[in-house]
Amino acid sequence: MIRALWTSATGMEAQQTNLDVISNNIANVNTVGFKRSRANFEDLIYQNLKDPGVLSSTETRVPSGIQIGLGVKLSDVSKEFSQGSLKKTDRQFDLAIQGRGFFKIELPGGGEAYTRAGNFNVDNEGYLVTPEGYRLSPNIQITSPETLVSVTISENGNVIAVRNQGGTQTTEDLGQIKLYRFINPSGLQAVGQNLFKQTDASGDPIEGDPNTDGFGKIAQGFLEMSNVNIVEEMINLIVAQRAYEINSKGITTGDEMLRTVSTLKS
Amino acid sequence: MSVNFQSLYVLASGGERAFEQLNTISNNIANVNTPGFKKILLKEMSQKIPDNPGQSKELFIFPRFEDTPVVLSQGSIRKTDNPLDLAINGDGFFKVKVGNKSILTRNGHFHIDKDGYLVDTNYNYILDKQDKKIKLDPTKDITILENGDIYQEGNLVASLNILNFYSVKPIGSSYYTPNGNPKDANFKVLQGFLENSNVNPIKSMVELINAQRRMEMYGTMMRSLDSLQQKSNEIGKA
Repeated sequence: MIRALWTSATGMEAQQTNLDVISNNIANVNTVGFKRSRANFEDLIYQNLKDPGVLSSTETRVPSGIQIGLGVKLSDVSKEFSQGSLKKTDRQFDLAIQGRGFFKIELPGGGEAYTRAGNFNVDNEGYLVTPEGYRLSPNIQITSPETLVSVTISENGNVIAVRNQGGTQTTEDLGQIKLYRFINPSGLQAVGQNLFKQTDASGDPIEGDPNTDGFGKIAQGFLEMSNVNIVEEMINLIVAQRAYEINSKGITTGDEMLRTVSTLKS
Repeated sequence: MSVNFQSLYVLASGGERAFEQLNTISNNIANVNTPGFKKILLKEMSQKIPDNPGQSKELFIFPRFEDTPVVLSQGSIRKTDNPLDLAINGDGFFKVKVGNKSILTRNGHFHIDKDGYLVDTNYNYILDKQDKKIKLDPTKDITILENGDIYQEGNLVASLNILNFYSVKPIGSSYYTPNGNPKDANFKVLQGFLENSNVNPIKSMVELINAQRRMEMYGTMMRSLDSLQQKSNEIGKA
């Protein structure tokens, strides 16, 4: 009936989505390796009632015309891959990445995913795995647990086992952890469980060694915390709520004006 | 005829304008959180109907649209820390290539696509001063200076094309098309920031009240005219 009702409704809908995104960020404020998201908006199409530049007299032209906008829509929800703060845990299989790389994970039933969450464990066969039991790729296997003293992982990702064999300490090289990065990490698809999958937008993964060209250093005994800034999220909540409120006023105003019209005829 | 219908038509036309005012305000309000959005003003004018030679004393002036200019005032700036979020503080628009055409935007939420080009949210290319696509090396840090020059590891890679116009037309999706020729731009590009919408919620609320009361006034006057008409019809019934 009148555009304003639908226009204000698009505004309320947009703010609802904004709230969904903010709530998910807040819910994950303590999730290891979590990256915050932001909802972005853009204006909808415009109806042209009069085009700018048409003649208004024989000598003059309309400078800007008449355009009525139809509201707002969600343009994208982008992940922000800024570094989260590091927390010291002293657990030998807790690994944090200081830099832009990701760990690669083998998914059960084939396929790969990428993660920043370095809270690894060792499974019953000695492989480094995520809390869900998915193996780190390339695989790191820690064998002969009876002689194992400790496992040291260097900044470069080299995994060294220190063993005690018959009273003498020996070291064994168990391989190197590789890191992967993407030309456009905000194009990665979040699939839950702290995992991301590559998409056409993210580009193919680029493999590299830790501690080289921006792939990032590995810090053993540390975890990367979520990069959610709680102060900022609270501000975003306030902004979303107020924006929702004033959009609802657009609807009540439209409604009141229609009431005036409908009571013209007594 | 004791009551002139002409005045009813003038009031009805005023009522229509009140609704169009509401449409424009609601669009501004819906975009209160849209980065780079510029509010739209609804300007009205009066339109005189040529005198009717039979009733030369009557002079009716209708309210009518004039135009809907885009208000190019600066929006507030918000810190995002994302290296590819750019805000323009001052005049001007980023030049974006869409198909074969180039259009404008103030929404500086950019990405690097899988081929390394700088693109906006809709994966349209951002253009440099030579109107070429901007190719970046995603493995290196990106520094963007206030004048729009993009540096990677100390080397100038490209320079953003920022254009300013006297007036622009909104076409949706944060895009604008220019009217007329470009003029000098006085701006600073801020990296890691986004420009908020320049819609002022307080002013918008006042405008909403204004539109509502305006419609009410017309309504009251139309009802009064209607009851006058009714009274004059009743005269004959006596």
